[in-house]
Amino acid sequence: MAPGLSLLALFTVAPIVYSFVASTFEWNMLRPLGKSPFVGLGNYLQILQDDRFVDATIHTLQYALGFVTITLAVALLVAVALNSRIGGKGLYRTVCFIPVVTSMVAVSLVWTYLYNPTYGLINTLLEKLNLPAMGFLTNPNQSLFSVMAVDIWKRIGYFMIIFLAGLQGIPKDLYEAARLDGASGWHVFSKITLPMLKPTLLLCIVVATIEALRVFTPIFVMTKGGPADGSMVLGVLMYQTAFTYLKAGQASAMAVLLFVIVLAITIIQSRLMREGGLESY
Amino acid sequence: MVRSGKAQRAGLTLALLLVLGLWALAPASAATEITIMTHWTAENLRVMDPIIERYEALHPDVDVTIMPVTFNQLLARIMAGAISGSRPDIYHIYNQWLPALVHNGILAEPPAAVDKSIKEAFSQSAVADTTIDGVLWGYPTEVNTYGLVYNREMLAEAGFDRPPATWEELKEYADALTIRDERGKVIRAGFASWPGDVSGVVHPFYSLLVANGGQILDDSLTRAAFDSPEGVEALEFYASLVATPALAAYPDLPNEHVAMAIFAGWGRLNFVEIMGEERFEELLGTAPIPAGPNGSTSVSYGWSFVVDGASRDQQAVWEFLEWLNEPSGGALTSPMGGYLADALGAIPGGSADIEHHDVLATEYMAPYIEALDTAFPEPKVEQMPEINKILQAEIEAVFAGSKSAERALHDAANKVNAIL
Repeated sequence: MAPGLSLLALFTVAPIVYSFVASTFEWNMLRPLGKSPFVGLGNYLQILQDDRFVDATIHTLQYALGFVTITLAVALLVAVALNSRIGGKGLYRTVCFIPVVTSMVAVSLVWTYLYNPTYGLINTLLEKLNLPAMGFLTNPNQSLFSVMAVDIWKRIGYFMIIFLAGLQGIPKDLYEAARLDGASGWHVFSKITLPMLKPTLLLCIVVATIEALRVFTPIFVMTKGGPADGSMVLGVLMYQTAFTYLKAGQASAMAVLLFVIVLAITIIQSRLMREGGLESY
Repeated sequence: MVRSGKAQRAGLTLALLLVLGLWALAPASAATEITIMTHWTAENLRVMDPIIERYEALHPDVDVTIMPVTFNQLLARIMAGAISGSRPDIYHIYNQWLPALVHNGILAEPPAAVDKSIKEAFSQSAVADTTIDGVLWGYPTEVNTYGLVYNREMLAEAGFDRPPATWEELKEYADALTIRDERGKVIRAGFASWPGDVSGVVHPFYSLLVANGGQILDDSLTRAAFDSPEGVEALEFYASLVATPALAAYPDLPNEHVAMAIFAGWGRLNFVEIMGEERFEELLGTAPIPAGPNGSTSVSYGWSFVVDGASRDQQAVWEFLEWLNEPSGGALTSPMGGYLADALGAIPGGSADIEHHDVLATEYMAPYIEALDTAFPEPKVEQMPEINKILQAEIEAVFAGSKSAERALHDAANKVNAIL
């Protein structure tokens, strides 16, 4: 137990505490933290007044909302479908899971080519269907959602597997009883499947939300936050602030605020789910 | 239990003595070790390694080790080294990082003799780009200027027998060379920027801004000056040239979807890689950036070798850099100049290297070399990387049509003034 706790303290707790401390200094990582000016809440005040931070926070929340809602809805639908009596389940599960085990960097690069406005496959198909070409990654209003679509596509399989495990844990006699009572498919889903799946759903919502709020790799690879900062999220802004602008103190303050946002959302989600009857599990 | 403790202690003592004995008997290593942190790739190292080996053969007491990292990781590694104390002797850096390294006491000043030698042997723009607060901090390596790259075939097909020389002509050419399909989608851009990249979006704007009589920051370097009427006019002109942000100078220029772009000299190697040497020679031409009201000018940026202030044997380090960057032993060019010009296709900072490398005497490189005389370096302030990123986002918003040039520069100036 002790070695495990020591490692946790060294590699998880200590960096978090260090970030809190660093966020109160005007630190650029080129000189020791102790020799940097102490600014108290100065970094927090500065970033809260900076439009770039405000915009990146809004983009991050938009991303999280879209990612969590769409990913979990689709993953649940696929899981329900794969839990029914259909042939070739193994094949479908594998197909859904392949993107999960593929490198995010590789996936992002491939999608960058697919999204290319001039010779990308998607626009070529749109043109064949007589639809207008889209500036997926070149239009500031579309870039965030285009990257989100890739992330959703990649993560559906992961949540589908968790939902599938949850579905298979629901006692079959509940369904049989409902069927004998003449319940419709929707009633079975809304009155048996969803309530029984609540603990799994809570886990997925919390995990997906945390992942979405910390999104970095697909945006860094596909757009670097652009164009016109249209897909700038907190993770990428933090990286730029620390390693391009040499403002590690400000980046730490952003990290602390993101930590607070993640914590608050997670607590709210847990409470809402519990109020909905989760305590019975 | 007691016996086992004694045996352990005896064993440990024996092992310690053995290690000390082996260390004492080991052959003496090189007296001086020099480490260089750089962003050279494996391909670059294939050219640089024999050069380093040549120096080591001439100086058997010196062992030179290269610590390569990717360009994206280079500054982060320099920062990590500064905190951990694991610092190399030499950094090969993008000069935009110089102010931060200087103001945080990371670097050593060159000895007076080296300072004098660099000022005599290197181009004016290279020296200016490596100077902070009146002090020269190291050996300039590559210097990058901008020129107009154009597709000869496309210009000829449109009836133009020479590249544009003025802003009016540039606009006329850009419009005439743009081709749209029946739905209005641009399938060939007469002129393109390179969204997503500071050198592709912001540096061409700086060149047009100064050509229009504007400046980036005010003389005190404490306020934005790019939002002047000259700046707004330059950005309006720049945006009017870009038919669509969906086509980018790189890679759409070498892929023949773009007719003209303002691009740095280092693009040559990338274009050759995509087009092949023959097609590149046949198709791509260069010219000075078309002249605005204030003439033709280009922003310049460069790289340099600088020495860590904590380096133990600074004399040996500067001697090595002198050998690497200046012609010696009757040679007309320096080893580094050869590497930059021949392997990278970049312009070296040394005047002798510029004069004596055939690849730099080509028609393609001529406008870039000419621009060295009038090029202006970016202002040397610590916040420059952030200023560039702020401007990049705002200029991209103008390209996308979501902001006017005036609004974008006004917003950028507010953000820049808040950090200066």
